[in-house]
Amino acid sequence: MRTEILARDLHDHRRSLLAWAIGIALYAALIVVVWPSIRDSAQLTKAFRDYPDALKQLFGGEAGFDFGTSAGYLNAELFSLMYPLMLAVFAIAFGASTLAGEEERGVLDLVLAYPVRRGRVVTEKAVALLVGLAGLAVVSTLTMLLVGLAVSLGQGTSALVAAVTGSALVAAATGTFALFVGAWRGSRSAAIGAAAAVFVGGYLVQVLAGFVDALDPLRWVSPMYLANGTTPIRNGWPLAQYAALGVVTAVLVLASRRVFERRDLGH
Amino acid sequence: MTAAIETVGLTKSYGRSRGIVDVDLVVEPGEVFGFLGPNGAGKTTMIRVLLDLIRASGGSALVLGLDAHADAVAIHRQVGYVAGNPALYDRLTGRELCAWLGRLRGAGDPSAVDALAARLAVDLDRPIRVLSTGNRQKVALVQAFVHRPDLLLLDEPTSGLDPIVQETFEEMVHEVAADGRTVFLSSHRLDEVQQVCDRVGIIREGRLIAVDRVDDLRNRAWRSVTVEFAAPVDGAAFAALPGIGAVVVEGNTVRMRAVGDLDALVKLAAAHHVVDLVSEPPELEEIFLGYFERTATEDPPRAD
Repeated sequence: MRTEILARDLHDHRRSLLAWAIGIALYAALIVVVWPSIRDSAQLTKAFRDYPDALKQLFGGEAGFDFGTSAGYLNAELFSLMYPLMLAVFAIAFGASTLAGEEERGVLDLVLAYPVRRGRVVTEKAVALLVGLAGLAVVSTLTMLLVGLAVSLGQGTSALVAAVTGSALVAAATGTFALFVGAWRGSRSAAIGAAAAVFVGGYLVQVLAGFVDALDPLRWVSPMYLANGTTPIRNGWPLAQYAALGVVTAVLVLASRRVFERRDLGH
Repeated sequence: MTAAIETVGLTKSYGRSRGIVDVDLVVEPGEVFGFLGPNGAGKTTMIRVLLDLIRASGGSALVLGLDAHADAVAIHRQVGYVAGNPALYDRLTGRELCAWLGRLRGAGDPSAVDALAARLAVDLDRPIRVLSTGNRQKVALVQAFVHRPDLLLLDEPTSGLDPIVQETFEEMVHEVAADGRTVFLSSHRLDEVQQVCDRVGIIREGRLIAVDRVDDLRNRAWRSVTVEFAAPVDGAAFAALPGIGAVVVEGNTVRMRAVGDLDALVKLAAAHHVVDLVSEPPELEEIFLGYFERTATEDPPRAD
């Protein structure tokens, strides 16, 4: 398999990847380092327990909102929003710039005048996005495990990896959605806007579904519910939900190829 | 022999303007063909359709005997392309870009890249983002010429190049043609097209309104002649000369358009005291006007 475009993309994003890897790892390390003082503060735990329900839903719901355990703490502080959000921002920016951004700059004119199929270009760019995302997830997971050892976090590795995987999958789905909108419309800002709307909308649906029963069936259309709705950091791998996110990602890559092969390249 | 480019009724509509309409064109191998027209006439559209970057709304286009859309990848193996005001990967150096594009083609040749860069006098070791427009254009020319393609599609290739480099470019184009390979270039400058091309197609508002050998085009085109005399003269005497038209007298100055040689005009003027004489090649617009007037008289508009 030829991989020149994949290599070009990762090379072009190497500084941004490094910055994101350091940023996310530092944020996660900070959250983990603070854990012992949270655990030892009974007052704080009680104060959080007395939060109104609506506020708790924002940070992963009643089940996850338990600062008495490291799982509950990590769920509220990282996996209910901040960690998947950071990965998704990276993925959306990457997905929008790699195709639509290059089209707007005009460089795709050059690349597509070379003997490469458009479908191959889209696939390699999608793979570059997923490889970059996986890199960020691996670096931040290793950081959390190492810092966790140092502060006796007491968090099972499998559940931690499950939670990270959920976040990476929701980022993959929203990032490839940005890729798809970019492939379809050729506009970087449209791609960012649409994908950000899906992420935020999905998050709100998940939060509201926690205390509005009528919204409950809607949770399955929320990428954030699929990623973290079952609190994987406590309950382990939700395979059906993760499979759904994986399928959505794969379908979006195929759809991106299809729409990009069929339309005029912008100038 | 298979034509390098053959289009029949090729049309690309974009709602309002900027498209091409019903273009029938054959460019033979070994030809240097100039696609001449003002900005926005459809030159870029034509080249991008031939490259399958955009798709025709009607008609057909064969490039090197292959279908422009269905066989795009096979065509691209044998084509070199320079876009108008080309966008490149700015963070790379020229050398890195050419090396990467060589890998993308599956046939990089670093020594050929260096030789071409030396010829065009461009520094391949600096990041493209710090290069001047002219030097970026040179990098774009290097990547298009380096693999010795059968067909070069060049969109305004000399914009930003200084005159010395333009000469080098002309040499390179002539060498390609001497090899039996083909060059299709667009331009809005008649002098450039006259310099390098064998044949010229004139495009206006998306329509190919004339295709001519460069020599014929020049003969058909008039020159704008201005003669300043020491005293007023009779303009009607000039207007009566063969090949002279559009005579305007302003004080001591007579302006006119001359078709063919200037011998009769100069001899008539010499009977008076000539202060100054300026003979200018026609502007592109004037040549277009010439074609329009001609087509208008040959093909009068229907009354409807």
